Formats: sequence, C-alpha cells, structure tokens
Amino acid sequence: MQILIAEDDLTSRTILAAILQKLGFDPIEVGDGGAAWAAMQQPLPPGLAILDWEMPGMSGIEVCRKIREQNSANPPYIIILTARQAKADIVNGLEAGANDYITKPYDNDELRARVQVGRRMVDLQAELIAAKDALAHEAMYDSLTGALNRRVILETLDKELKRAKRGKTSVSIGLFDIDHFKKVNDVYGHQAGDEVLCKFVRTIQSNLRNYDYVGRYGGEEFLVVAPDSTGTPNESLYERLRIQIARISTVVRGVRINITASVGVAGSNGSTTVETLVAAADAALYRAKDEGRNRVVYK
Amino acid sequence: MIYSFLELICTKTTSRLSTICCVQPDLFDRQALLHRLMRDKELLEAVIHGFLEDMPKQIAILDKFISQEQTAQAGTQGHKIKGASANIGSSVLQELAHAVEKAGKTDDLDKLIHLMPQLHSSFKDFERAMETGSLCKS
Repeated sequence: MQILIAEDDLTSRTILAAILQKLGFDPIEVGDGGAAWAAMQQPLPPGLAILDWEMPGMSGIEVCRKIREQNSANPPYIIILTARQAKADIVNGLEAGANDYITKPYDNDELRARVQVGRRMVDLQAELIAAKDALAHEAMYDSLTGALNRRVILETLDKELKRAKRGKTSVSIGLFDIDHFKKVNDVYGHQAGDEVLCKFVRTIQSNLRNYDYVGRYGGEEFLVVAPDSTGTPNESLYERLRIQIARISTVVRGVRINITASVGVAGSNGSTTVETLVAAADAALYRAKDEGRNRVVYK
Repeated sequence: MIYSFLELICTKTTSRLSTICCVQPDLFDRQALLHRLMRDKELLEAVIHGFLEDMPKQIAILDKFISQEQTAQAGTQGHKIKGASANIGSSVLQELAHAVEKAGKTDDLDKLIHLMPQLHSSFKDFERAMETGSLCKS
C-alpha cells in the first residue's frame, strides 16, 4: 500500500520512510506541503498520508483541510505528525480532518500500530466503496442482461422527454418483444432462454449510439430510448436493430436457436408524456404482432 | 564494506579500543537509533551519512536567518533541526536546537546569537565522533 510521507526534515523523513518500508508499505516522500497536496491530486493518490504539522509553505494541517474540502468519495486516511502535545493542538488537528496523530518523538511500536489501524481503515473503506458501487449497479441494471431496469429506463425516458421539450427536439422509443420467446424456454429450457435474452441485449447495445438507451421493460420486452431524433421516429435505427436481431444465432447443446422481434415505435411531440408515449409504442407493437411479427410498426 | 570491517575490528579487540570507540550517548545514542531502525546497520550508516551531509546546510540556513534578524524564521528552522537531531539520537543537538526554537519564538535575538557557537561546536563534536565512535558498537 502506498503511503505519503510529507516531512521537510530529510533525516526524519528518511528514517520514517525506511521504517514504513520495513513494515511493508510503499512510501512516497515529499519535503513540503505544496508537494504533498500535488501528490494527493494524482489520479491514484496514496490511501494513507503522514503529514508533518510544520512544513514550509503549506502546513500539514492546511493540506489536510484542503483534502477534506474536496469531499472525495474515497478520502485518504491522514495521520498528522507533530511535536505539539497540547490538547488544544491535537483537537485542532483532528478538527482539520486528520484521522489520527502521532507525537514526536514517536515510538516504533506506536507508529506501527497507528499505521496498521490506518491500513485497516483504508482496506475497509475500499470494501465499502466496492459494495456501494455493486448496490448502485444492482439498483440500476437488470442483473441478467445488464440492460437498464424498468424503473431506470422509464426515468431516463422522462428526463429525455423534458430535455427534448426544452430543446424543441424529439425522442423516439421502440418497444421490442421477442417473438415466440415462451417456446424457447419451453423447448430448450430457461438457461437457453437466458442466453438468448443476453445475446439479444448485447446485439441492441452494440448497435445503439452513445446517447441511446436500452432497458428491460418486462419479461422478454425491452425498451429503446433514442433522444434527439429529427422530428420523426428514427426508422432506420429500429429497422436496423430488427435485422440484426434476426441474425442472432444461439447454439444450445448443438441446436441452433434463431429469434426474431416485433417492434412498436412511437415519437414524441411537445405534449407527450412517458405514459402516452409508451402506450403508443405498445399499440404499435400489438399491430406488429398482429400483422405477422418480425417487423417494425410506427405509430 | 569498510564500515563492517572496522566494526568487526572494534568488536573483537580489547577494551582499550572500545573506549576509543565509545561516544557519549547524549551526543549520539547509537543503540537508540539502531533500535529505531530495527537493527538495520546498513540503514544506520546511510541515515548518519545523510544527516552529516544535510545538517551543515540546515545550520547555514539558520545562521542566515539570524544574521538577517529574522527571529521567527530562525525559530522555525530551530524546530526543524531539533526534529532531525532527536531522530538521529543526539540529545545535545536536540536541546540546543530546542533552545534556538524557543528563542526564535520569543523574538530573543541575543539568545539566538549566543546559542549559535554552541550549536556549531556541538555539531563539530558530533562529526568527529562519527569519524571514530559511530563505527563501533557501544
């Protein structure tokens, strides 16, 4: 684990770095507050920092305060190194945002114990951030296919409709339903069905623009949101997607499974809401099914 | 290599040599520094070498502050020298630097001027001791 040592005195810094290296850390040494601040602004800054209180230019306390002002999602664990032992100074240091302090002259055992606490806290923080990210991902995406989930795709549609209204542009949506998907599950099993769904979503995702979205609306129904269309529903986009989907081939236990999809497309105007747009696309999808499937119908 | 060789000689020879090798612990507490450096003798030599190289520069900076009557800066520089001296294990230098720090903080220029010859002389003693005693086990 990388650890920043900010200490203006060369001898003290050399000794501290050597001890920390022996304790299994990877020390980064700087000689003043400005360099410490710069080191903590790197893309991957050290998770642990030992800052001497008194340094030329910016003091350790000032560096600490500036780091805390950044309000990072992954803040470093900061230990202030100080010869000051007065209670008021220690309180001042902790209030500046330090996690801990070590008074000089420090004892090796105490130093080891305190940096180990820091290492534990940094590790724990990394685990919490990973868990938080995983939860955030789970709350937004369909766990099977990786498409946005129903709530998020509808929220996205709402945002895009508002944006389109402000910018006097439009949004089109395509409601996709895999034809005869129940048969895939019944004949080849649910695992095969899951594989088909994943391939279906990957095909759509790889054919969308960076600012288009796809979400799982329910079962085998998926919703594509294409903002900033040119006023009329983006016909070529949905037709292209339909053709690509018809080319999907999933091999399960030596059997090739091919699918097609029916698509109902609707475009927004100034007064369109999420409900009216989805209802229009749903009606178009119903017609696509009715007219023989594997086709795109525009409302 | 040469340090290890001399260390071996000093360890294996008589008490006469060992008295030559001994350094007053208040000038340099080798055992305390060695303990702090987790018994790493190579590191100890490197740290002493670094201190001997850096300290004259730090004392020169202090001299300059005092000659320019910048007492507050002299106090801050005294604080820095105090930290280095404490870490190297020289309580003589540490106490003198502490006195410099206090004199600087109280804007006592006379005291600062009075302390500097002592600081120079004690550092010379330290240097001389390192030329002989620090090579030996105390």
